[in-house]
Amino acid sequence: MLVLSYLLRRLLYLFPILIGVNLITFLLFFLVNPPQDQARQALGGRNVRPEQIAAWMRERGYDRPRFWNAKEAGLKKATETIFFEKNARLFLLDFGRSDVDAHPVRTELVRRIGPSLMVTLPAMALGLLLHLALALAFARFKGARAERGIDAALVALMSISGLFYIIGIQALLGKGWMWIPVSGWADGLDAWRFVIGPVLISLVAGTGASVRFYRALFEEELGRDYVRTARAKGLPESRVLSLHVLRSSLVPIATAVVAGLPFLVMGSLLLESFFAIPGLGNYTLDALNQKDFAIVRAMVFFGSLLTILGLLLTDFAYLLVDPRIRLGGKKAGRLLPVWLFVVGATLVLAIVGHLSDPAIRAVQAAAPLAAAAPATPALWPGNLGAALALAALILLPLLLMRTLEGQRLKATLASSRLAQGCLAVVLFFIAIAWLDSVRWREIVKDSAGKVVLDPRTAEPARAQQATSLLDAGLLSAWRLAGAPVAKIADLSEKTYSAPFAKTLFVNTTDPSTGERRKETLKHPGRHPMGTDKAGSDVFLRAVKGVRTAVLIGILTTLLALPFALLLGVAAGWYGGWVDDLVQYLYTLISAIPGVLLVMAFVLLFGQGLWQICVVLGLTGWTDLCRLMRGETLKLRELPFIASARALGARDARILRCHVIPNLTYLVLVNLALAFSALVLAEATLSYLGIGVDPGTGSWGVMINDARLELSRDPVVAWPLLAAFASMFALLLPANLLADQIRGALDPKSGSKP
Amino acid sequence: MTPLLRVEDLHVHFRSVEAVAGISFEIQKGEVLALVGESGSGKSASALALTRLLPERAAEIRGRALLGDTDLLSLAPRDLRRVRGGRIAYVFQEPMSALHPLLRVGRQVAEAVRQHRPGVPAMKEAVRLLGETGLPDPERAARAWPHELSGGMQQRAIIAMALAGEPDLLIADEPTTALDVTVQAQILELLKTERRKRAMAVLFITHHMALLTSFADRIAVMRHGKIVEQGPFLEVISAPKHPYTRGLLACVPRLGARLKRFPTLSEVAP
Ligand SMILES: Nc1ncnc2c1ncn2[C@@H]1O[C@H](COP(=O)(O)OP(=O)(O)OP(=O)(O)O)[C@@H](O)[C@H]1O
Ligand SMILES: [Mg+2]
Repeated sequence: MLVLSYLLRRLLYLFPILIGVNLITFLLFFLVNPPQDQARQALGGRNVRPEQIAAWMRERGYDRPRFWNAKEAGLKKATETIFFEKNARLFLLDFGRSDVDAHPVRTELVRRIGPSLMVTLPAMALGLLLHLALALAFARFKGARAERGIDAALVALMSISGLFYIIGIQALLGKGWMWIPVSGWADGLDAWRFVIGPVLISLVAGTGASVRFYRALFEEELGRDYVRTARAKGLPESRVLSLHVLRSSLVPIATAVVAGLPFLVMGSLLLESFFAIPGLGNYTLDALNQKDFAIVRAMVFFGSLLTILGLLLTDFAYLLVDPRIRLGGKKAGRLLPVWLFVVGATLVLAIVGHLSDPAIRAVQAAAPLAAAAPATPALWPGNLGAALALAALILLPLLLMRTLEGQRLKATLASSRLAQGCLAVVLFFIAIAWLDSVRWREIVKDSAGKVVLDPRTAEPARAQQATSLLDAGLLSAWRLAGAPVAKIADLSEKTYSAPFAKTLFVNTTDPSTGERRKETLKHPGRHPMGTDKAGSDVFLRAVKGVRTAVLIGILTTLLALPFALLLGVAAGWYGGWVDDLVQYLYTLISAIPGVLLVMAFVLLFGQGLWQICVVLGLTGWTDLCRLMRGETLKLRELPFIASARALGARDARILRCHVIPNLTYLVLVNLALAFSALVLAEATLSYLGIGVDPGTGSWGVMINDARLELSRDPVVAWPLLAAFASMFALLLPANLLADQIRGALDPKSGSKP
Repeated sequence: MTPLLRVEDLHVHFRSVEAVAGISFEIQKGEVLALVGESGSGKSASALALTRLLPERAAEIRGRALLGDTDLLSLAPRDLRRVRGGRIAYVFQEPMSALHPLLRVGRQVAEAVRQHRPGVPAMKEAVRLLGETGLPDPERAARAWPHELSGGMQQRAIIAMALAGEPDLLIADEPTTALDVTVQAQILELLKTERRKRAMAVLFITHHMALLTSFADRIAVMRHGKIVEQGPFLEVISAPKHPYTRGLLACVPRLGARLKRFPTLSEVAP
């Protein structure tokens, strides 16, 4: 009975989250990006006739009014609408039909869950066993040397992109030794052959992060009083670890496992696309590529539904594992603000949606053909950003030095060679990114060296392609090395050449003699990392990838930070309904699986650096906010805050002088830890084709371009290796530095000398 | 007569801090030695160092701790485990955090029985021990989760756990500090009874001098990681030689004495 009422209350709390997800899908898919635009995108962008659009919408039922159908009678006024037919029906698990081939989405879901689970279930179960066992084994290694060694190895494993493991293991086991099929699928249990590879890869790829996570948990447990009691009883260390430590780590482990459940069902996008597994991950990716809005919309809802079920399961896991947790929880009355908020949001959306309908139609009619992307993107935002960044780079250390955190960081830096080295490398990468951000357009000259005039403005014409300080520097370096190049594009060759080669990598047929030979390069011996299939210099591409990685790594957190800080502190400080709403908001956002949110964003707003920063910031915001809220909650209860209050200090002052400064360390540590995760995410997303647009330099794009080259004969490995090596060269020091920063700032870790 | 435990020139370093700066003392069989001193003087560090229970990475221990004629500080881990709980048992200050929150009380006691007295039916013995320490319904207490017991009951459970290995020496590190006054007296009474019944030596750590009357045989006074004075209990408190000891005694409230306020240590023992 108690369990039942508890369950009911949890449902009453979780259901508004589902409604929220539903509203968000509506907001994204029908307000921000109305069906007319979707039709235009699906039909191929430019030069689509209005009749075509109308037909497309009619066939798929998007021609209804959005919220209120005045033409119909009775209840149909509300149901014969897009909101009801396309959005509210998701609650009934009616996912509608594909926009492209009109297949029902639900049958497809049911069919594809199997293959997804066949890969992810064993991967999760074996991963849990393997990584826990490893972490337990490592916990027994005592002594500073061994510990530091293991830790360094794990950090190194973590600093390697998952793409590397996938491509490497697939190439080695599949193509090299032919132990596993390279890709494919079979029905029923015969699929096991195709499962081995992906499972193995996810075991290896997860090792670094998972083992470190478990190790940190164990480390914390090992310091507890009850572990000392267990040792004082004379228990062998193996029993202390396997019973006492493991038992109390179960709660966070269970949380992590359950939180991963939706991803089990959704499948791993990367693995499925690599091994051509007909699971849900591949389904979503295909839908994205075909601009199938209906499927992506359905998947966003479905994924969130799974997350919410996962949350419910977490509650049960807690109940099972931890006897201290009562079936208490929030009273139903406390949920009122959340419900009010949801209802209010629905109404606002309805009204805005209804009112904007004619407006949008009018705009559509007036400007039927989108003049899409501007021909040349403006450069000033980048340059302004670069100037601001320079100012920040100079001011930040100065500001930091005035805080306790800054002093501790300085002490750590002064005493640790490793930290100095890591910081130097990271700063080097930031410097490259900065140099690559200061850009201008060169004046075009003809072959005779004369300035070309723009026929329209009669001013000197400017190059389409922007040049950055970095480009200029690299060009002069090349010239110094003896290559006659005037602009970056001149560096290209016809096609592949090996590092430092003097001739092309592949034979070409001489048309006059019919003889097969290797052509000499334009710049023989001048390509330190060779050239790729299109003939671009690999070194140049690798260097140009730095800006994207660093920008996303830093900007994203900076974008998320103000929201997280503001909302988190407000929730923790004021409690009550503010807290309820903030908690609701971040649970809502984090209920939508990140990749799906990114996909939806890219589908609706296109690819690009900014889009990625915004959407990653939107997803990253929640974790930080949760942290801030928890910490503020703790701080509020501390005696020094109470005494400040007793002295009559106002809230604003307490927040500014006592609370925010005490959050500095969390912010810094989080910034450092998030950086490498974001760099990895960017590469993965760009690889999947949902990151930056392919024209931008990015390691993910590089990997995508080069991934098929391993199956060439002879193998062309250098473009891939260059991308992975650059990523590793940035991530390893960044991760090590983040660790050092955490060590220096975390009050729990004590002040290491 | 050879002492039960002889500690010679024990040092404990935490990185740069010297928590224990070379102390020596002895405990005879069945004797109660009180270790007193202000907070941070190194009492807990000394007691934990004896069976190397300090965090291995942080603490560096030097000196000798002879139990009979084996040096605990150079003992192999295997043999050390036999000493922990089997010959030297601990009762800690915070009963709540000393019990594992996710294991039932009986199981935690039984674990100690099983470790040191193989062949004895562990669960039954655990219940018996819980009863012996004065828990009203030992059967139920054994099945309870730690958080379902009160602080005093938790401390009894911990004492039961300590007694499970039938130790020769019980180290009680401020066992009553976290409890309220009436419960303090009960726990102290329990320790006294058990000690008499088992002829067990006790190293009793406290900074509450008043608890020691009619309990301690000898006393050692610690300050800044050193033992500044030690000797038979009555001798030391009736004629303290070291000014610090006098200071500590001056801080004990006495019935009927009229004071404007209690002196602080820095005033009486510069
Ligand atoms: N794990 C540790 N790491 C670093 N320093 C420690 C650690 N444990 C104790 N210390 C330091 O060792 C010194 C002695 O501590 P100890 O716990 O022995 O004091 P105590 O006499 O038991 O005090 P109390 O009466 O408050 O329990 C203190 O200065 C303390 O800060
Ligand atoms: Mg102590």
